[in-house]
Amino acid sequence: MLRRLAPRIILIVLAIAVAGILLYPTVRYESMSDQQREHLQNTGELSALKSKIIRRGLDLQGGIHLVLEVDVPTLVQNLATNKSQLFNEVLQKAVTLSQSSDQTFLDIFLQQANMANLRLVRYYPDRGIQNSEIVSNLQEEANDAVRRALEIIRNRVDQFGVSEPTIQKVGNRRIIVELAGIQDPQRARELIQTTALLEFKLLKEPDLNQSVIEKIDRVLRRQQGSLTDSLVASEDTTQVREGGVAQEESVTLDELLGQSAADSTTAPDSTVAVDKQIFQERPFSALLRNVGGDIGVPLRNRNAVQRILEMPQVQEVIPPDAQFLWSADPEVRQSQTGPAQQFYILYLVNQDAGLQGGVVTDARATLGGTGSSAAGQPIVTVEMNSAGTRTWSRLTGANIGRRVAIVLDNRVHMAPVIRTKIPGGRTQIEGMADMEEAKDIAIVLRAGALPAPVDIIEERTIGPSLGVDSIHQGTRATVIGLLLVILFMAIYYKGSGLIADLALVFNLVFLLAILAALHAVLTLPGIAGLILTVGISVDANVLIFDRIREELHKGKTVRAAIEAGYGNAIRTIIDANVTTVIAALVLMQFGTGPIKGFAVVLFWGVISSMFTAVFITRTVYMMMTEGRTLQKLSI
Amino acid sequence: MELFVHADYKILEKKKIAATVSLSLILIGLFFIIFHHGLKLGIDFEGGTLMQLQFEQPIQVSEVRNALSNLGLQDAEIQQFGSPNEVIIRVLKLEEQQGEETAQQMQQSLGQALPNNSFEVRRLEQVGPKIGGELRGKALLAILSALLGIVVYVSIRFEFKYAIAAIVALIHDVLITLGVFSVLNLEISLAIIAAFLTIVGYSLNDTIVVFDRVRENLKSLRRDPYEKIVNLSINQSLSRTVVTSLTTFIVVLILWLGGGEVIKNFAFALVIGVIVGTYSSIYVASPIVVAWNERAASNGKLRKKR
Repeated sequence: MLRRLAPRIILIVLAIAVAGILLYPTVRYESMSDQQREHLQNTGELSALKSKIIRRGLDLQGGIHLVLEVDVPTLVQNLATNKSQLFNEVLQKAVTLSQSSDQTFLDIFLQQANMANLRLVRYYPDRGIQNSEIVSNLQEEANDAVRRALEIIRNRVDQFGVSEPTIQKVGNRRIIVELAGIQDPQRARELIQTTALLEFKLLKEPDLNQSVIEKIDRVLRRQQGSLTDSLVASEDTTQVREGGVAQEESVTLDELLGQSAADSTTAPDSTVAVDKQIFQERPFSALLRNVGGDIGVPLRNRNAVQRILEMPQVQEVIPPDAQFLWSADPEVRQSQTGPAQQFYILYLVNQDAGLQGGVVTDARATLGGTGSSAAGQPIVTVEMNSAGTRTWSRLTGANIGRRVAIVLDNRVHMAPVIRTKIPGGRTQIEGMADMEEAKDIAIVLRAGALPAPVDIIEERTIGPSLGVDSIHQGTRATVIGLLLVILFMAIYYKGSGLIADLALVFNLVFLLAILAALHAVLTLPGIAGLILTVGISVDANVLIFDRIREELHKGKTVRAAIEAGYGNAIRTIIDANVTTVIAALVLMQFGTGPIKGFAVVLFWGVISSMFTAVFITRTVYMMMTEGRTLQKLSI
Repeated sequence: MELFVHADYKILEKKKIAATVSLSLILIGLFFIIFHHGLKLGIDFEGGTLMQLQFEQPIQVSEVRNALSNLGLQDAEIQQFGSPNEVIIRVLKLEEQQGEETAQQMQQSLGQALPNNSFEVRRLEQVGPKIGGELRGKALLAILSALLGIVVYVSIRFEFKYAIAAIVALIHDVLITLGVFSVLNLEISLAIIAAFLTIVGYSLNDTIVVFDRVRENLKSLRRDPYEKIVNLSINQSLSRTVVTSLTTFIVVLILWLGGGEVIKNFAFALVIGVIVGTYSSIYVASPIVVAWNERAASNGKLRKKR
């Protein structure tokens, strides 16, 4: 008997241990105060923790869910030249037909054009000869428009400070955007829908960088009140230190900004990494590192630096014609002493754009031709319209050797050096690490002139307060339901009911652990699924117990009745559960968002209940009957 | 505590009463669906805009309606939602892109008309007509594939006649629940479809437990008439059916009463589903199997059942 029992107990203990490990991050995160979370945010550990917890769906934490669709008919119309009466009629008819059809607009457009004997080459001279060729070229344009829209949205979403935005392409025309926990959905919607702003801005000379940074150092020191102005005029020529070499230590924001400056929402223990050798002298410089000649800001310091730059006293010392802009993505640099670190680059650029991105007519990633300076290297070639070409020619001619930042929605994607005057508009950008990067830059450059509007075709916004109410009420309903079921089982099945209750609690724990392991999203219907699981998961025990009672009525011994009860009930349990699993699988397949959350919970709830309600309770009975003969069973 | 020990109810003898009850419930529901309100499809399926607003002070539906009167939204449905401070506004069947404007206009008009009672948008849902059509198709496909999956599974595990009986019971459950929604003029949303599928799974769960017992008893009690075996099987599973239904009923009832406004209709569908599903597995599915068996026997197709 013991030989049968030992592996079972080991398995159960193991399962409980694994569940504990899986649930620990969620418990830790949920029990943290906001201040502790901000602290982790600043040290960069929060995202690692968040990737291990049960996420809350948009309906529970508030947020916005958008489905965007590229307006292909408008794209087709905008790209056509010399439109005729017939062309307009065909286009109009295709629009009408596509609204009540499963076929794509372009397929219908092609059919209609062929039926009307419309030669599309007249309207699209550069896209092929045959109608079918032209339509597949237009399809490519539409796909490209989706890619560009995707890039624009990615670029902007950062501004909301959303921790885990979902930006997904579905099908070939749609984009799903989910932003959780945002406070101002109106602003989010506007930002996503407004046209992208692409600009070319000249970088300020490096000398100016240094002097502005020194001025900010002085402002900060005055804030700290530790030193007087007279001491500041140091002629120290030490440059901002090479990344990673700096001897770092952690300082609180209070120390950094001076007690009064730290605003009240700041957690007292949030810290930044400073270069301690120069911290006393130059507190702002201490936050920065030299990354290949640019001003690098370690990931962890970014919030602090942004906050300092926003201070009014700091704004005063930045020249009025200049502004600081962040790089779009962090750069990873291997330091000599420690592990790889991520740095955002801070650029000081002209306030006025030298050129607006609307002038870019095309940008493609290719490989540099043989004989050129970038032979075989990935490059981006840019084409401009005539107005853009003139401005560009003047700008590049006057600023040879300076750098120009490619800025999309106020974030710098690249800052190449101007080598020569570029008279013809046709510009070549070199220095991309690989083809991927070149393609990304090309998309950014094309983003300034999106040829087709992007429509919001579905939107679901949940205010944060509603989400909080939902969690509150959902949790309360779950707890009350759980307690009532536990009570009912204990009354109806006495001692055995308590065993079933144990299984029920384990079922909930395992189910939550599975959700954490799957990195699943808990939605409001998902909570309903949890409650339903509580109700349904006692079913297996009810089936077993009723069978045991029947066998006992027939006069069997306790041990024999238990054996027979489990033996007879198991087939019924499996048959009955499969039906719920079928329904749950179908829901997972067809459902979206919240409904999917419900199906996932229901599915795993049933699976896990098989383990808890059958295996665990059976093991408990085995332990009870182990080595002795029970005369009476509490059931 | 133990209920239904050695229960011996003559359940199948009451099949005529049961059939009358079931049919009249279904007919009343269908009457309402066809001749009265019809089914009230929500914005998920029709396309449109839904806005849930929480005002600082209690608000009357008429105040909101007046504030919106100049927007030409006569069809807008405005309801109190949960607390007296909250209302929900639904505008159905808007053209693509029109939804965005409508929501903005509504907020402006309300702000102007009720300057002393500021509000917060707690929920805003906008579904374009194209998405609505797609979701309608998806929902239908979901229900049909679930039913198909069940027929296949029950046919494999049992016999075809059990599958048919189970499906009839399921359609019975969904029709009655739909009828209740039509009579009470409650909105059918995506979540309600999910609730229907859950009812389908749950009701079948009950039915299969009875069928399983029938199959088992057919082996040990070959000599008894089929009807008697089915009746015995129902009685033997009665305690389990009632206990499981009771625990499930308790939790969905609490969800309905205390789970919050957003999920209220979803929970309500489950409450109705648990009641109807329990009833149908006893009084609908089993009598159909018996009737099918009798007809087959009298037609001489089935000489002897096992």
